[in-house]
Amino acid sequence: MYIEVNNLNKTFGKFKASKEVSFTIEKGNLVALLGPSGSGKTTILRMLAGLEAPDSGDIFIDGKRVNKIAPGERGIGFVFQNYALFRHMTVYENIAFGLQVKKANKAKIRQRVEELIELVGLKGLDKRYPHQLSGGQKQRVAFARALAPGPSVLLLDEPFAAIDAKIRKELRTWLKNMIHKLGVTSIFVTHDQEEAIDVADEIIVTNLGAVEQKGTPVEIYKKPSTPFVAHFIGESSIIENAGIFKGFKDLHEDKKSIIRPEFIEIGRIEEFVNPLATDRGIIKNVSFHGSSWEISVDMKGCLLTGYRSLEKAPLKVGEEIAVLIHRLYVFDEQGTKIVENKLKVDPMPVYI
Amino acid sequence: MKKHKSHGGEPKGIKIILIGISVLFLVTMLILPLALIITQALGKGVRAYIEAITDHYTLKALQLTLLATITAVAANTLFGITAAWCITKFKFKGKQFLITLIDLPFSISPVIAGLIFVLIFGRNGLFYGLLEQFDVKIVFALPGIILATIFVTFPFVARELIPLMEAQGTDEEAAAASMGAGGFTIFWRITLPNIKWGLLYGIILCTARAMGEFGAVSVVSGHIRGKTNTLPLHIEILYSEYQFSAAFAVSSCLVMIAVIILILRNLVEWKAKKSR
Ligand SMILES: Nc1ncnc2c1ncn2[C@@H]1O[C@H](COP(=O)(O)OP(=O)(O)OP(=O)(O)O)[C@@H](O)[C@H]1O
Ligand SMILES: [Mg+2]
Repeated sequence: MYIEVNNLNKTFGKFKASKEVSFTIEKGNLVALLGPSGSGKTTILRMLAGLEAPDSGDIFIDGKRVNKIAPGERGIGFVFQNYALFRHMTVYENIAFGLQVKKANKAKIRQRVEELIELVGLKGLDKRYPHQLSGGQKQRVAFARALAPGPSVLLLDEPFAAIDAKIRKELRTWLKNMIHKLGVTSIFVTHDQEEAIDVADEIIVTNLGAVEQKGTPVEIYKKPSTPFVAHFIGESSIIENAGIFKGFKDLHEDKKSIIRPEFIEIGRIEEFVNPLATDRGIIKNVSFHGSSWEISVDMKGCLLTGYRSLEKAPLKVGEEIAVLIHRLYVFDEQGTKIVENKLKVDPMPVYI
Repeated sequence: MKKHKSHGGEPKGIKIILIGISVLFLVTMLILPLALIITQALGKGVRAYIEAITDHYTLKALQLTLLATITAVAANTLFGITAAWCITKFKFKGKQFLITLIDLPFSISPVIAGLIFVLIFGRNGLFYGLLEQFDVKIVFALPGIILATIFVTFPFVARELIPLMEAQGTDEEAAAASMGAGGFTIFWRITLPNIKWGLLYGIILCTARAMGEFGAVSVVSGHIRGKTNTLPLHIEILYSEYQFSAAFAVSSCLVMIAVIILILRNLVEWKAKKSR
C-alpha cells in the first residue's frame, strides 16, 4: 500500500473533525474523498499534507511514517479548494516557486516550468497574473504548480468546485487522463457523487468525520455498507417499515430499508406480468427527467420515486397505479443485504 | 419641461445647499487656518521667516522630531506586522483581547499615555531606582519621547494590516509551506508582497501622527530647549513667548511635511487600488 492511514483523530476545540480515520491507497490510484459539506474531507487532506497535525494516529507514505516530517519534505503536491495561486506572481513564477524553494538551478527550473506549461496547455499565458485567468486556466496553473517539484502524491481539494458545470466535465476527464498518464497517486475531495463515480478508481465516503466505506464506484453503489452510503450515493427513498409491502412480508415490520428508483417499476396494473407482486399507490408528482419521467408515488404512507420510459403511456398526478418493488436494501449489523421480491416469480413460460 | 434630477434623486436645490455647507465648513475649519498660518509666518517678512526656521533650536527640534518619528514608525511597523501576522495566521486564546489591546492608544487620551510613562519611569516611579543605578534617564529625555510616540501611534500599522490579511486568508501561505518554503521565505515572498500597499499606507498614517504628537510627548519631554523639545513643543514655547511669527513659521514647516505625507498617502491609496 502506498498510502496508509491508521486511526487518525483530530479535534478543533471540542469539535471532532476526524474520528478514527483509516484507509489505504494503492500506488498510482486516483481516489475520491466523497462526503457532505463539513464531513471532514479537507481536514483529512490537510493532515496528509502536514498542514494540520493529527491528535493521534499514523500516516505512512511509501512505508515511511510521515507524522513528524515537514509538509515540504513529504513529497506531496496540494491543489487548494480555491487554488490559492500566488496573486502577485505570474503563471511562470507560480509554477517555478516550488522548485526555487528547493534551490534547483535556474536552467533546470526553466526547462521544468516550460515542460509543465506545455503539459497543462497554458502555452503563451506564462506572463499572466492569476486575476487575468479564467477559472479553468487557474485550475491548470494550480495543478502544474503542485506537480512542479515532482511529488509522489497529489492532493486536490474540490478541484472543480469553482468551475461552471459545462467545463467541469471536460476538465475532470482531462485531469483523470493526466493523472493516470503521470502515474501519481492522487486523492481528490468532492461532494459531488457523479464526479466521484466518473473520475475515481476508488471512493472513500466520509460522514461526520468518520470513514463510512471505501471501495470502487461499483461496489459503493451496489453494496453500500451503511444506510448513510446507500442514501448518499445514487438516489433513494428511505423506508421505515418495509414489511408492509407485497413480496417482503418476511421482513420485520420495523426493518429500515432503502429503495433506489431503478429498483421499482411504476405503471398501470395491466402492464404487469404478475400483478400479484404489486402494491397500489397514488401518483403525487410527475416530472420530466430528460430521458424518462420521474414519478413520485405515495404508497401506504411512503413516498417512493421511480422512473418511467417515455415510450409508455404517460401517467397523471392523482392516478391510482401499481408499483412493483423488485428489490430493496436492508441494513443490519453485518452490513447491507439485498432482498428480492418473493412474489416476483419468473414470467410465465412461453412455448413456441 | 421636466425637472432634472441629480443621481441620488435629490432636487437640485438640496444638492447645492449640501455642497455649500461642506465647502463653507472646509473653508472655515481648514483653508482659513492654513492660510492664516502662512500669512502670519510671513508677517515679518521672508528674512524673519527664514531666520525662524533655520534657528538653532528649531533645527534641533526638527532633528528630534525626525528621530522620534523614525524610531517610532520602525518599531510600530515591526510590531504591527508581527501582531497582524499572529492574529490572522494563527488560532489562539485571547485573540480578541489582543485586538482590543492594540486599539487602546486610540481610546486613551495622549496626556494620560504620557503620565503612564512618568509614573513608571519617573522620580517616584516603579523602576526609578533600577534606572538610577545604571544611570539611564527615560523621562525628560529622548527615550521617554520615543516611548510616548510609539505608544500613541502604535495601532496604525496593525489596524491597517489586520483586515487586509484577514481577507487574504492563509491559503497562499499554506500552499507555499506545502512546497517546502520556510517561515522567512513565506513572509518575504508571499505575505509581504500581498500586503505591501496596505503596509505602506499604515506607515504613512503612523508617520503623520508621530510627527504631530503633542500631548503625550509634552508630559514626558520636560521642554528642555535644544534637547528634549520636538517641533510641536517648540512651536508652543515660541507661541507662549509671544514670538508669533516665529511660531507660525515653524508651524508652516509641519504643515508642509503634512501636505507631502498627504500626497504620498493618496498616491499609495491609488496604487493599492490599482494593484487589486
Ligand atoms: N481550523 C478549524 N477550526 C475549527 N473548526 C474547524 C477548522 N477546520 C475545520 N473545522 C470544522 O471541522 C469540520 C470539518 O471541516 P472540513 O473543512 O474538513 O470539512 P469538508 O468536508 O472539507 O467540508 P466542505 O465540503 O464544506 O469543504 C467542520 O465542521 C468545520 O467547521
Ligand atoms: Mg473542504
